Amino acid sequence: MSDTLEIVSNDDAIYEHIKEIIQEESQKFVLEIFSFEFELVESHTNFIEENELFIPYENYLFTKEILLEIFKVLKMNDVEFASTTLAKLNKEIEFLDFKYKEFKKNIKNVKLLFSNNLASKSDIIYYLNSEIINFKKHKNLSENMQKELQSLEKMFYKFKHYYLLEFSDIYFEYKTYIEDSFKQILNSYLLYFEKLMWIEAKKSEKIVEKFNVLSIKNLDTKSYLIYQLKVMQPYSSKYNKYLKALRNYK
Amino acid sequence: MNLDFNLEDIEIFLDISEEIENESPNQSLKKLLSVQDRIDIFKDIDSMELKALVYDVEFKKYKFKDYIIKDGEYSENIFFIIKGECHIFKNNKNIAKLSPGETFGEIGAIFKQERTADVVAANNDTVLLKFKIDEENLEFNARALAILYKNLAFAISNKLQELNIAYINIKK
Repeated sequence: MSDTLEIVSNDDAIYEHIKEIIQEESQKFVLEIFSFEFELVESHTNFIEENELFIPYENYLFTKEILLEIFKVLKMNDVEFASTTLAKLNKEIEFLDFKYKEFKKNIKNVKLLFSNNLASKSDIIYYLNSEIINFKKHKNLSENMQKELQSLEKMFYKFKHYYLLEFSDIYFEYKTYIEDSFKQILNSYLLYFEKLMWIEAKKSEKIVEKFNVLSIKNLDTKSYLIYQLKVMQPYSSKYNKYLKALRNYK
Repeated sequence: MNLDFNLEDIEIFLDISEEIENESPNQSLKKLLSVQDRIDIFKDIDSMELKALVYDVEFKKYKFKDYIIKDGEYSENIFFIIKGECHIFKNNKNIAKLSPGETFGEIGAIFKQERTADVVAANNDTVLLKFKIDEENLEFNARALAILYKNLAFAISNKLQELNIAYINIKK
């Protein structure tokens, strides 16, 4: 990668300066693209860190749909069982999950993003491009000038390629960071959601009665999954998903 | 970006955090955690990570001549001998004896291969701890899985070395 830039300049100081400009411009542009998501995950990550909330080693993302489904079932049995905290947590999980899926869906081809957007916004690319245009404006270019133009165009092409590689690195670094943060936040919130859901379900007479009627041993996810596995069509995809979800409950 | 959670919500979260911290694992898992240091493939894995790494943890008693593993079968169980001994048979020939503290079945379980030998209890009251590894949880337990694979590579290398020595001795 650095070989390409060395063609642009062999001078170390200029090389470093240009590299710095490219990185600054790329970072600014990536933050512009991901501004909402970046701010969203930063605020939730800070909240989790400040309050020392757990991020479990178990994968609760895998059980997310099951937990949200249980929440709906419990609500059907007692519409008033959920506190405002639990309701807020449920809303927050659904919102974050939606934004996470949207984020993954909107990830663009980095080459297209660069050529369609960044290339026109970059000061340094704009400057080099206008130099070439100015050069081309000269009428009756001498042979030497034509050679110079050719080498300038070649250099510009290589420079853009180098720029794309730098931009791509920064773009994917942010993309990975945001994606990982979404997963960590959701995993943590799902753990708290699950715990709080059962704490509150146990306080509801209607839910406790319903579980007794169904002979579900305890008011927890494990017992609920075991009950569902007994009454469900075996070896269907839902059955396998429920069976796999049991792994989180030792 | 302002979050919707207020002080009252945070207090509830902190209570749950305390509950999680004080949660005690079930008996089988507790036992597995207590012998964790003796199981080579779990060396250097944090106990919280180990809790998330294993599932279907169970203690099982076997009688003399009970089959623990059958050649050609498929299962993901790994076994740790708590009490008693086990014999390994290949083509009805007794090829090895396993003692308390030894682990077996890990290669077939991790590499999803058919079992390559029979393992039979050598005494009455042979007690084994069996468990499975949740390999699909790479997202949140990558460190533990990486260590597990490293330990496993080491265990396989040791077994190969033992086989080499045995082969050299036979040749002599």
